[in-house]
Amino acid sequence: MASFIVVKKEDLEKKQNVEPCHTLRCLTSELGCLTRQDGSVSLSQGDTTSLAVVYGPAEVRISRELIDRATVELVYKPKVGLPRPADRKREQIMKSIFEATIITNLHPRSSITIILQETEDLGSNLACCINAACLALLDAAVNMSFMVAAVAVSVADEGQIKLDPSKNDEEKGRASITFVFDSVDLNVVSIVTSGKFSQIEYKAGLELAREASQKVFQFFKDSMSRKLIR
Amino acid sequence: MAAKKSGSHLSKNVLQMKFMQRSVLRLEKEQNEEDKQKVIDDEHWVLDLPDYQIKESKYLKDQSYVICEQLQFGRQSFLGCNPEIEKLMQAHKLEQELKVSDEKEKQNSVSDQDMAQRYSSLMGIIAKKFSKKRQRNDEANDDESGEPRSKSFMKPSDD
Amino acid sequence: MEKHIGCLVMPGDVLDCIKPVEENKKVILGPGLIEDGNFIKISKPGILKFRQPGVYWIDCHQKRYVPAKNDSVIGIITQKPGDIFRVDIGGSELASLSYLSFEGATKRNRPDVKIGDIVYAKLLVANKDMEPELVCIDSHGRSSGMGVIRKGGFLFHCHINLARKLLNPECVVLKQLGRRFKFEIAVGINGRVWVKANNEIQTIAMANAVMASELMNNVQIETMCKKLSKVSSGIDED
Repeated sequence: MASFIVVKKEDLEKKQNVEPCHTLRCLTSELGCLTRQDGSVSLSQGDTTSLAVVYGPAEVRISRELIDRATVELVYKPKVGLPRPADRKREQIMKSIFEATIITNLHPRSSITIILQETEDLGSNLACCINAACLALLDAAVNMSFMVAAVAVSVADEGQIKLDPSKNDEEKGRASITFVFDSVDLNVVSIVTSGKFSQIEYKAGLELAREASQKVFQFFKDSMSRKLIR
Repeated sequence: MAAKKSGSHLSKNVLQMKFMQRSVLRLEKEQNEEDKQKVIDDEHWVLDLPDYQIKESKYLKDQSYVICEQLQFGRQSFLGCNPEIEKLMQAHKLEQELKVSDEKEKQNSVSDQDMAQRYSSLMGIIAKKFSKKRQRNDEANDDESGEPRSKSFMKPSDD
Repeated sequence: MEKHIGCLVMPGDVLDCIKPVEENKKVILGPGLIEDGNFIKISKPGILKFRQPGVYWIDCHQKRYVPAKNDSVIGIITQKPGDIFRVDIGGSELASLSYLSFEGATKRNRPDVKIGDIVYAKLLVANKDMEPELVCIDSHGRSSGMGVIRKGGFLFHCHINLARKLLNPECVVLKQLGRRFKFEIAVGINGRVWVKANNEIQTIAMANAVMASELMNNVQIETMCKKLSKVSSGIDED
């Protein structure tokens, strides 16, 4: 796989001279980082990193078999310890997103399993996980009707909105929202929120995130072209 | 249905005979059932919908790469490792070459449609050759019945 | 349309100008393309390819095999329940193979097939709603290269891309190797390759050469084959 240059966030900001709260952190990916899986990717958004692998369409346990479509299974593994209820909830959210994304009726009586391993959570972890899972599905060439990109924003106490917040921003902020967009019309597929925010703040965050999602999609495309066009 | 057909051929007199009584009963029963069926049919509801038209797709779906990429046969042998497979490879190769040359020939030669068109125009001329003189005259008369025949010189047509 | 051919396309992209060349002819849509009303939707990331007359498909990088009709695959016999064999072909389900679909097999004269054997077979039925079904005979009842593969050799798994590359008429891997070495190969489109040469060392060399050729172009392959033949002639002399 191609090698990547690690760019420090501070350097990048200095270089671009852009207001730091309106940019995405540096995205890097390594496709096919594991060999036994059908699709695997290690994605980092700034310092937040997660590893996603995909198996499928593979054999399914009879108890979970669906006769008209594929069963989508998603397992989230935290960095330490066993998954807690919050992680289970996160699994459910992501599972429903990918059930909509994958064309499940093309592979009835089979399973598509996505396993996510949190490797480093330094802010916007859910967004990083969703992006990693989508990229892993692309790596495995699973049939999808569209791609998804997740972008997180946080609302500070003074009402300032920060795109792709770090752990510090998330903890200090009043609210954090994760938007998930589809690749066709950039419509919202899913929203995960916590904390209190006003309608105006929500709308401002949505527009900011929508713009940033285009960069994520472009990143997906660049990653795939690096893999496929030699 | 077959029984009904054969029954209708039997005359009344025959059916009145004693040994035909069972057949008569059966025929009557069939007749009654048919009437009943008709009553039900009339009562059945019918949705007044336009016929559902199956739109013919202009696409053929094929999930196999073998056809898309025209892949070769997967078993191969080299330098006499497995003579059986090498024979097969030779046969496949010949087949492929034949296909290619066939296609080339098709492109260069006259198509079937052109051929048919040419022959259909030729047919009339050849048929004339074989018909007798009198017949030909008759035909000519039939064509121009009513109209007096012009005695002027007629230019022969190009074909 | 032409501007898309040979380009990278991503799931969700829409192609609206795929049209048949002639009015009454149909366009063949290969893997990765889905019909959606008047449009064609892309469902896999990859490079859009086109071949005359009117065949479109997506060339994508994939490891998992999805059975397709008429594919020639290498399967491993895993079970023998009654009159059929259950064969692992790498798909989501085991495929079935009737013992009567071997050359010369009758109810009395069963073919000699054991669990763990490798078979080279063709997919007769491959439908998403049905169990895949294999046969080891062609429509004339002859084996034509299919059947159980014995006599040793070495089976390895590879990406489906490599299997397709090996069988592509334009690829020179097998031709170049075949000119220099005596060996036999069976390539299953499901990403399994079986190789056999004179001895174990040569078999391993062939397998490695085939695996290494995945990311090479034709020129690189040629140089590799030349190097390999030089090295192997050295081995033989020793």
